[in-house]
Formats: sequence, structure tokens, C-alpha cells
Amino acid sequence: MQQIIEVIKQAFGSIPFEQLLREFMLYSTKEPWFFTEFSFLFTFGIFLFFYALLFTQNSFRKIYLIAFSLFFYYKSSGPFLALFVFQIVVDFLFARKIENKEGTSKQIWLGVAILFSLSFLLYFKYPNFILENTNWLLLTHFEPVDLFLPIGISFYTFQSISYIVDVYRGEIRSSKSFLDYAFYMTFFPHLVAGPIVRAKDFLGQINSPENLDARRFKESLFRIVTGLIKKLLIADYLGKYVDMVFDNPALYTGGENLLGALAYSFQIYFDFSGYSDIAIGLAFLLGYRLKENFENPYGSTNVTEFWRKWHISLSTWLRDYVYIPLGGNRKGALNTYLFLLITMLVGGFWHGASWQFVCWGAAHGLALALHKAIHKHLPEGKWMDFLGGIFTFSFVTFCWIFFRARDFDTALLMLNQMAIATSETDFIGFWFSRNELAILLVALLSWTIIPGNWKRKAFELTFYVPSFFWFFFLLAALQLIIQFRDTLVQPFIYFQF
Amino acid sequence: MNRLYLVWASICFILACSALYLYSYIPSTYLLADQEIKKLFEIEKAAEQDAKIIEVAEIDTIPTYVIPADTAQMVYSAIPEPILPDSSVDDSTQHRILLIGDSEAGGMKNVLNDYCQSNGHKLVATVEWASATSLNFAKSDTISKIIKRYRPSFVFVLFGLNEVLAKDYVTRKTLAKGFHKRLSGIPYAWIGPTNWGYDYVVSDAFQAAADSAAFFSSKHLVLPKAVDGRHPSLPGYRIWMGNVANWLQESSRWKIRMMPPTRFGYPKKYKAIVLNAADYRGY
Repeated sequence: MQQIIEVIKQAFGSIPFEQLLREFMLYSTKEPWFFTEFSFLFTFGIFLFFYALLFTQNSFRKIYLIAFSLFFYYKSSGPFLALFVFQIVVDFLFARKIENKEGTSKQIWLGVAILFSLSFLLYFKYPNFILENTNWLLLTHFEPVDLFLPIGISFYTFQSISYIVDVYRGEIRSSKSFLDYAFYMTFFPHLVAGPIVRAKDFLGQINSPENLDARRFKESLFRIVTGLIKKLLIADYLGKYVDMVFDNPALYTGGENLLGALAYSFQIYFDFSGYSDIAIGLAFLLGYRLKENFENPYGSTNVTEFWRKWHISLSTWLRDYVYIPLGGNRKGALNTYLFLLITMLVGGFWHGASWQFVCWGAAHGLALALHKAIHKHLPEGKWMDFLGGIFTFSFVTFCWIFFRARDFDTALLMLNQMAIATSETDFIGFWFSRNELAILLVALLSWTIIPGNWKRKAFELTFYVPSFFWFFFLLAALQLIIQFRDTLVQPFIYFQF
Repeated sequence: MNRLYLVWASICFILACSALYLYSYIPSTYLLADQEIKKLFEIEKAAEQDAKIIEVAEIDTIPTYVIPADTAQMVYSAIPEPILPDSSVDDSTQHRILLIGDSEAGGMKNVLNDYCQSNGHKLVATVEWASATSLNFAKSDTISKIIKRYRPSFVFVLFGLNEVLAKDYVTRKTLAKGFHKRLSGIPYAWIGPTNWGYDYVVSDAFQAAADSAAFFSSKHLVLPKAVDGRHPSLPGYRIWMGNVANWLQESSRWKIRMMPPTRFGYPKKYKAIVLNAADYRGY
């Protein structure tokens, strides 16, 4: 007992509380706040305690949550908080205005509102792309500008556009309460990396959060823990190998490049879906329901199905606000293919300002159009589903190369390495030199084959564990992350050629 | 409304994080199934340590303006008279040679290629890692991979220009030793960077890290400079290589045949790998 007291004394005595508090309150560009930070998880615990006390006080609860969300954004993006708040205020006023207008003036107000929302995204995300292409086309010499992209701007811009368009279409009433609108926009679980939440799905929940019962408590914690493990253990571990291969593909054999692309496929999935899991779990704990963002996408048997299961909030946004307004499938087969292509080009461009993303979007757009054109003529059956699954996964992985590579030359170099320098010895060498990574890749590949509902049933078994034990579950998961977080990928052994 | 679960959830987060923070402050370490239970701050400390080392490497990169531009009054070294190989050198040995280094290796590669081909050796590959310092060479496993791939029987090492202003002898020596391990026992010739009058500790640190008589210090050479004021000119590289060649045949640890080439401008059959530390740190 004496020893424990000594340890606590020593621990608390050596903690510079004043300095920690100062650092905690200030934004640091080196340590922006994300769900994966331990300081966030600790602060969230404290926040949750007072949230429980205020839960039944509707207005106080909303103000408290908005304040925490704004603090969270400040810790993630610093001074861009002011821009974010400004955008929220102006979009709220625009939506009110649009609702009260009719005919042409309504359309003009809609155009102005969308342009306003997009202007920030265009200003921060695309100037260098425009300058580079202007230089290339007109032989000018504009210097690239050095701009910091506010975190989450792509997500909240699409979110505000969806709100304004839904109000314009009359699908929802504009929010009468600024507090409710601010709550919807700032709600921290979806703020910085989605899912893109639609106002019609969320505004109705704001004033009546669901109670947290035992099952909901367990499910929330389960989502948060699995999200942390997906992101910090699996995605980050794969990322070390992926970075090495994509940084310099010429140093690796074709087989290693191929496995680098495969590893990236899983890295991006576990990174994105891990983040979404945490967001959904946090929201669920607070009494709100966010829609699923991934549904076993790598188990898809064709590209159309893949886009129904991958980054669902983005793909449905693109469907509702780009594809259908363009004409959807109502204007003939050829136009449908064209609209699919345009929609995916927008999707590609949304991901980043470079021709690689445009190319990635175009490849998916063409694949969607092709599938639309031929799917009725394809034979059906389990074997076709299996082959379709392999083809779809291979195609998606192929496209990820352009998505991840530093530039076109690097992507082409990787493909070239795969085409001309692949032999079976590469894989044997990989197995012996990086067997942990190899086992992980095999396990992840097997994971994609297991149907989603099987996984769900397996997860539900954990809900029989009493609530009390979930503390140990959380503790063990966090310690597991600390244990393996800094494990280096084993050095590669090149097989002789 | 059952707020009990909300409170319990908050306690779970607070307690779990507090327990992990507190464990980080406990001096002793515990084991579980023979594995050390790691502490949260260990990761942060390791990251801070890495950041410090990287900072050292970043700040000591030599700025061009400190190198004397006017060398008109300098008396340059010259290509020395060739020395015949030591009797221990086997004339028939044909080495597979790999050149590793910074931008100076990039300047040296064609001259070395001429020497190699003229002496029956094969320059298989060159690695020109511009702006790299011993930190890159020590921490990166890129060089190990290249060695495994090209299977050289002899390695030329040439870097240090980007850190000639460094004064931290111990750090440079440690990093150089780290790089030395990557050579995996293959015979090598380690050539120190050119000296523009600013080499405080680098050559000495590298010499201490290398095997005895395996390091050629270039500090005594005065070489004509290229127009960038930083690297030797082509005649400068030829003078340099001439001196290295004599040392290789006469007094280096692993002597190899390296007589002056019968002509310059042999075909370039080697694989030239060009990296830039600004884009590719290597670790």
C-alpha cells in the first residue's frame, strides 16, 4: 500500500500540471487533435461525465456539446475555427432566405449559396492545381501558393451544400433554431473526416437523443475500440510497408510492388472505416445515430455494388446531388454512362487537386458505366459472384495505385515493375522476410470473404459480456495499441534475381 | 433515462487513460507472458529523440554561401604519378563495384566507371543520394537492400559534403558506425568529403568509424571547383580519383587494381540510382 501511495505521489508530483493545462488549451500544429490521441480520449471521458449530468436539460446539453465540438475543431485546425463559424452563420441565413423565396430568385439565391460554400473549398484546395495547369497551358510562370487546408473543409462543405439543396427542394424545412443548425454542423464525431451527415437524417434527432442502455453502451464501446485497433494497429502497421514501396518502387521487385498495392488497399480501408467506426461509436454513446459508412466493400461482386458499400455517405451524396440532378438514368443509356463518368470525376476531384485523382475517378466512372451496360448480359451464380469479387477487388486495388502514388511516373513505374519484374520467388522471399506482414495480409484477405452478417453475429456474442468488464476491454485495447504501435516492419530481404 | 451507463462510460475512459498515464511514471517495468508491458510515454520519448536527431541533420546541411567562391589563388592538387599495385594485389580479380554516396558520388561515378572498365572491374550500380547526410545512410535500410540486390564484391563510399560544418563528433561517429554495419563485411573504400576549409569533425568521425586503413581522408586535397562553388569540377574529380587510386593500390586495407584509365569516356553500363534526401529521407 505504501508503495502504491509513493508511486502516485511520485507520478502526480512530477506532472507539470500548469504547463500541461497551457498546452492543452492551445492549438499546436505539431499535435492536432484527433480521435486517436490519448489526450482526446481522456478529455472525452471528462466531457462525457458532465454530458450525463446535462443530458435531460435540452438547451444546456446542446450548448455544451456545441462548445466541446468547437473546442475539438479548434484543437484540430486552430484559427480556421473562425472561418468555420462564419460559414455556419452565413449558410444558416442563406437557407432561411431560400425557403422564403419563389421562382427565379429562389434559384439565384441557391446558386449564390452554393458558390459561397464552394468558394472556400476552391480557395484552399485547388489554387495550386489551377496555377500548375495554367502554367502548363499558357506557358506562364505563376509560383505555387503555400496554403494550409483547413481540416474537414471538404466534408463540412458538402454537408452544408446538402442542407441548402434539401431546403431548396423542399425536402426539409430550414432549421428555425440556429442552435440546432450549429449543432448539426459542428457535431464533433463527424466533423473532421465524416461520415458526411445529411440534415434530413440528423436534425430530427437533435432534441431527442436516445437513451444509453446496456446494449447501446456495449455497442458504442465496441465500435470505438475496433475503430482504434483498425486505425492504429492495422492501418498504421500496413502503412509503414506501403510508404517504403510507394516512395521508391524501383528498389522493390514486381512481387513486392504488387503486395505494396495490396497492403495499401487494406490500409486505406482500415484507416477510413476505423475512423468512421470511432465516429459512429462516439455519436452512439452520446445518443445520436450516424449512418454506416462502409459495409464490407471488398466483398463486393461488382463495381456498382462496391460503390454502394464504400464511403457510403460520399457515394450517396454524389448520387443525390450530382448524378440525379444531371439526369440519372432518365435520359437514355448513353447519357446515363456520361453522367456516371461525370459524377465519379467530381468524386475523384473531391478527394484531391491532382490529375491522379481525376484519373482514379475516371477509371471508376468508366467501370460503373461498363457494368451498367453489360450487367444484364452477364451470367449469374455463385461462381460468377466469386470471379466478380476477385475482379472487382483487383480493379479497385489497381486504381488505388494512382490514388496513392506521388505522381503519375511513380504509379507507372510500379505497374512496370509488376509487369516485368515479378516472379514466384518474390513471394517466397516476402514470406520469409516479412512473415508477420504476410500473415496479416492473408488474414485480411480471408476477412473480406466472410459475409458481413456472419461478422455481425460474431460481434454480438461479445454483448453477453457484462457492462462492468468493458472497462477492462477498453484498457486492454489501449494497452495493445501502445504495445504494438511502434513496432517496425521487418526489414526486407531482396531475393536474388 | 438511465444516465448510469453514460457515467460508467465516462469513468471507463477516464480510468483507462489515467491508468496508462500513471503506469508511464512507474519506474519499474512489468512483464506479461515474457513480454515487457510498454509505457505510453516511451513512444512519445522515442519520437522526440528521433525528432532531435533529424533536427541535427537538417540544420547542419551546408549552405552554399559559406563555401569560398574565389579560389583563383589556390594551388590545386594534381593527378599524381601512378603507383604500381602492391605485390599483394591479384591482377586477375575482377570486382563487381558499387558506389554509394551523396551528390559528390554523382560527380565521381563516370570517372570511377572509366577506372573500373580500364582495370577489368565492373561498376554495377551507383547510388547518388543528393543532400543526404550520415543520418540518412545510418537510419535507412535502402543501402542494405541495394547491396543485396547488386551483390557487389567491393563498395566505394563517398559522402559527407552535406555535413562538413557539423561539430558534433560523437553523433557523426555514431551515425557513421550505424552506416558501417550496413556494409555487411563487404570490402570497401570509404572516401571522405572534399575539404573547402570547413571540415571540423566529419572526416575524423568517419575515419574512427571505418576499419583501419579503409578510410581515405580527402582533407589534404585542393581541387578545382565546379561553377556551383560547392562540388569539384570534372578535372577536380579526376585529380581526386587519381589520388584515391594510388591509395587503393598501395596502402588501403583491401587493395585492388586501380591503374589510370587508358582513356576517359567508357560506355556507361552501370545502373544509376538517383535519390534526393529532400524527397526521400529513406527511413
